[in-house]
Amino acid sequence: MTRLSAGGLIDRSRTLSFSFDGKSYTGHPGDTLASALLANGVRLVGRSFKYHRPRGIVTAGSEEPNALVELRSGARREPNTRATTIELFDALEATSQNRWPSLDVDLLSMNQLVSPFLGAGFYYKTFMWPAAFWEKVYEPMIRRAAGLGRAAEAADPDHYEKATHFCDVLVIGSGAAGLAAALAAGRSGARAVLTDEDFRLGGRLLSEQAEIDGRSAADFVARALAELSSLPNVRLMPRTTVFGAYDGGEFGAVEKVSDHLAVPAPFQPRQRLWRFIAKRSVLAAGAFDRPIVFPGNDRPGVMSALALATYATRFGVGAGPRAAGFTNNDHAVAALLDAAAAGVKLEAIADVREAVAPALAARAKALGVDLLTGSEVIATSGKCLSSVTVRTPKGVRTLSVEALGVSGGATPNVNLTCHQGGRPIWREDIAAFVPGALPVGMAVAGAAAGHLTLAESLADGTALGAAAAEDAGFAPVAAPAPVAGDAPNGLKAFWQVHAKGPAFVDQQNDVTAKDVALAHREGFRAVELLKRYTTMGMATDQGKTSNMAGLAIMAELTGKGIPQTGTTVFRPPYTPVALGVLAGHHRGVDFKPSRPTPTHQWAEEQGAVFVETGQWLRAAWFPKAGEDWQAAVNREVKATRESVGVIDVSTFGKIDLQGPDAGRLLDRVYINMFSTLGVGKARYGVMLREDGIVMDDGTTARLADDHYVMTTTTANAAKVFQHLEFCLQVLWPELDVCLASITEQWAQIAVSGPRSRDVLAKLVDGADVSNTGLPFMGALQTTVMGGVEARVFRLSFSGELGYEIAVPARHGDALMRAIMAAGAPYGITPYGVETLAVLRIEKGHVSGSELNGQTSARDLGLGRMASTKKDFIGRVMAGRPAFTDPDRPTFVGFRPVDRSARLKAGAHFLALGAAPTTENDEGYMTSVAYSPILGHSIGLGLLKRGPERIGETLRAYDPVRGGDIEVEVCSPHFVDPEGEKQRV
Amino acid sequence: MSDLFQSLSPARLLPAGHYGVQGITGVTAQVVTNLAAATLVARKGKTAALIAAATASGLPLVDAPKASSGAGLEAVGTGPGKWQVFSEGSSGAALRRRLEELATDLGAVTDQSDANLVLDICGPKAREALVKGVAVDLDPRAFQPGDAATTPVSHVGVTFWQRDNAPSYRFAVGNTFAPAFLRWLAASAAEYGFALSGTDRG
Repeated sequence: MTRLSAGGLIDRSRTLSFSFDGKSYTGHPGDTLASALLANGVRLVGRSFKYHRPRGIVTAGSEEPNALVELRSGARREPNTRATTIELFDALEATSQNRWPSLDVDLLSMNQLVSPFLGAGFYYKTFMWPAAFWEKVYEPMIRRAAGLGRAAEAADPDHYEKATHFCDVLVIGSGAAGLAAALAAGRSGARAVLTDEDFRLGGRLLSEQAEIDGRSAADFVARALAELSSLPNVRLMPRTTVFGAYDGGEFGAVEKVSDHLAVPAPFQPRQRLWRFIAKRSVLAAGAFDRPIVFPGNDRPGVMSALALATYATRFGVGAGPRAAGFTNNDHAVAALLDAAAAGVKLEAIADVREAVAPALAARAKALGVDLLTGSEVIATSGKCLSSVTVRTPKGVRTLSVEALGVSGGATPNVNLTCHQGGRPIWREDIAAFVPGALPVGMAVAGAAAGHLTLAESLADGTALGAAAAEDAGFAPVAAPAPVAGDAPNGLKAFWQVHAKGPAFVDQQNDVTAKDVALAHREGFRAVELLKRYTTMGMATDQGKTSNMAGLAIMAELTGKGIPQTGTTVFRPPYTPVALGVLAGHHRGVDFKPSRPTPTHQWAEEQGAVFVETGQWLRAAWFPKAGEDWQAAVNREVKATRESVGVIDVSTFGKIDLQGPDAGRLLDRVYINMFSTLGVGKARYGVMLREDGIVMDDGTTARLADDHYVMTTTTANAAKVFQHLEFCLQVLWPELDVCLASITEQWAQIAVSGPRSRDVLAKLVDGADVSNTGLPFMGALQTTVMGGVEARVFRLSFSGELGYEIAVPARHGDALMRAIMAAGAPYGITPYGVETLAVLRIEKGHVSGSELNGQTSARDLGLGRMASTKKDFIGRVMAGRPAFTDPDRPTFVGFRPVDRSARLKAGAHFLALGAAPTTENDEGYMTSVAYSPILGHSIGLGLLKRGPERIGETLRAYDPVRGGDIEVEVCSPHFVDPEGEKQRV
Repeated sequence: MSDLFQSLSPARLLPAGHYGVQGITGVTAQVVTNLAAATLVARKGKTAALIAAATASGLPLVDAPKASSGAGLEAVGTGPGKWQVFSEGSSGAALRRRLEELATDLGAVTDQSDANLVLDICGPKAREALVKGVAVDLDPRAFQPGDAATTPVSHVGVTFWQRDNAPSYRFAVGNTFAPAFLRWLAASAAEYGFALSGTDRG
């Protein structure tokens, strides 16, 4: 046990039990999994990615490269969770990763023996040939060996949600600078939010033994939080990681609502995705303690000096029974001495400098810590650290210690400042990159800005918090910044100890100093290439601790200097974000809205099988007992053609157009003329995109001189409305047209078949629906079912005599039932979208498969509809040579030469005997169906010079679904080619 | 909580009842019935004249995302020169006639009485639940009774406005989107205790 006898922000009165690799341990509330493991003397926590080297805990935060574990089990199992960020809870279960058969004995650690061959670029060089081996041998092999942890195999039982919060000032990070900024902003009355990824607010103040305003840092934190909690305009959000800075003052954040519990409380989400919209932001994200690269620096027990201090001060844990330090800066020396003061048995500190600050030297002496100046650690030993070898000016010394706190200085946490394209700037005096251009509205305070002392952080936070509030329109309350004494802050840039043995730059990716040198030799010297060639800075930690040393070593090799070498920039997310929280509520059946039609309940009662068509749930077919889908569809088609069928077509987009210029607008958006359409008439129209491609089709009826009602396809309802709005707002603002979407208002039901008029006649309240009273393409405003307002359109998609009856949506269900009752004597048959498709294919009407974003009106055989008397959107581009090329695939019908064969949509057309090559491709099949009327398979498609080739025999070749048959080119109008049935 | 409703048809309205944490009700939603609705869109260049005409007849229209009421009507601005007008206890046809009379040559009227599910959402935790889908600042500093917004909520386009400081909000949601909207609302409000009424058995 290495729990110190006293101290730490843990509740020693309560004990939590947890397990790691099946073994039980205990910890206290306030512990992280990492601190609890260290307190139990567990130093080996994982195996490295490539070489399977034993690894331990390196940091005390989200920058952790090594201590990745699988958390929980079963459906809640979560791989690659950083032990340093997991708040300990009772019965926590964690398992180590990337080892077999056990963490202690990992056979894949043999990779180390061949490590000379596993250096940077190993994959690229080794698996080059034979090429055929890649897919079958190499890739599966690499995939087996690669990857860390296992995802849960069962569906995630928890739920996630999203929320938006608006504020005046967003403060990111709750250390000295963040608390000061939040206080300054909060006191002004501004709506302020203070976030921190940690479960406890206070940042590094929780780990430091400094004085602020004459009180302890812990006391300052407690008082600041008490004041902030008392301000109703301030929101404190611990466990909330701001992971991305986006434009317009927008930030993405994840709040870990229940990650600190075994199971979320009832109705609580596991995590919540926050979108902050902030007028101003203050980034106070602190700095990372960066490593020094030296041989054996990855041995469990070697850790960041500041982390060692954090474990001692905040968690009351000694990282080992005995410890030492290896530093190049005063801040780390002070932290290590804090740890010693907290009870860690600190044997010595090796510092590369000739001298440390006199005050620190005196304090070391007082604490009995041996200060070895001008010294470097050149080796370590033990599976877990048992000793370190130090090269001192007086000779080599070996120290028997179980922990080594290393610090190469501070790397300001500039991550979020890069998300809008900012590039960090090198500051020679602190040997670190500091923020460059900032996202609009952001200010950076404290260590994140390179202002590394406590005094600077407090002053910065106070000033920038007040300025942010003022910029957001609030008068700051004049109050002095909290004051801290001057702390020594000397540093000598130092990156790498030159000595024998593998020295790790990036522990997460097993990148050594030698790999950086190899990348240099092979010409991958630019930082972005260095990263991709060696994988340095990739994966969960994104090189938060490792990047600097890697860059510095490359700079040393190129002799160019660090600012010239540059740095990689950061993109969101700052730390890994679970996909579940990005999906939020929208998974499973809630992935997207499911829109029921007005007759949904009736269709359910009829036993309909439903299909998702976009957001809509529509009846696909209505099977009777013993019928499969094909039998049901065949029956529905025959009944409709022979007597009468009915389908809910409410899903069509419906748009109300009113105003004196409505006809003019329609003339410009449709290729054919609508201003000349008579009142009480409907017309089929085709609209193009500006590039001449067909956008949508449908019928539009004229209800009055200045009143039209348009229908669009189901799929394009919103898009067409948007298009009309665009036309009116941007292209022709002078047109006097008022639009309203009426898709939701009207239920619309199509009745088709020779007996449809008989059915309609029973529904209308006396209106004349005879062939003269309501001729083909007529539109009638009337009432049905005894006074229900209705619009009746005599239209036909099926080619049969047909009507579409629209009533206000609340009457849709009643109308369907009334139609069924009225049609009962004729055996009226409800049909679904499958039969709808068969009917339209038999009739040769184009639909979604043909209006596929690649076809012009001419391609679809609709070219002659285009008016030459007017201009319309897409007219010019539809006339470009490629679109008028006679060789362009054009709409035509197909049937199999062997009538028992089945056509397949997607098959490509080839001349008989032609090789299946792209050069020989003559077009493709767009839609197919089995026609119960003709008794064989029929198809529609696009064929080079299609209409000229009726009667020809071709090959329909479908290597994807399998199929290679001969087809005859024919008219696309398989049923009633003269169109007589719909006009009777 | 999507999983809470996995067994309920996504195409039906959630049945009336109490959802989530038992014993408390932080959020209530009540379906408003007997409400006629229409869109009123000003004709080209006639917005001011239409506002004047409406105001003269007792309905002070505002050309902004605001709700206003008068003469038994409630109007909500949904776009420049566009309003949704509601009338309790009236039929769609009667509301349309009334508005057409008022807006002769000044605006277009379209009956929408069957287009929306109208819901009153209120309760001490209404704001907390709504921010889980509404990306509009609902803080009293920014959104007050009389303020309105037309915006997507959980992938569903809605128009809503605040009616009092309870706070209570009235939402108009396209009927066919209402099942999805209610599933989102119930999931979002479950942690506060959610009471839904007016949807019967769904």
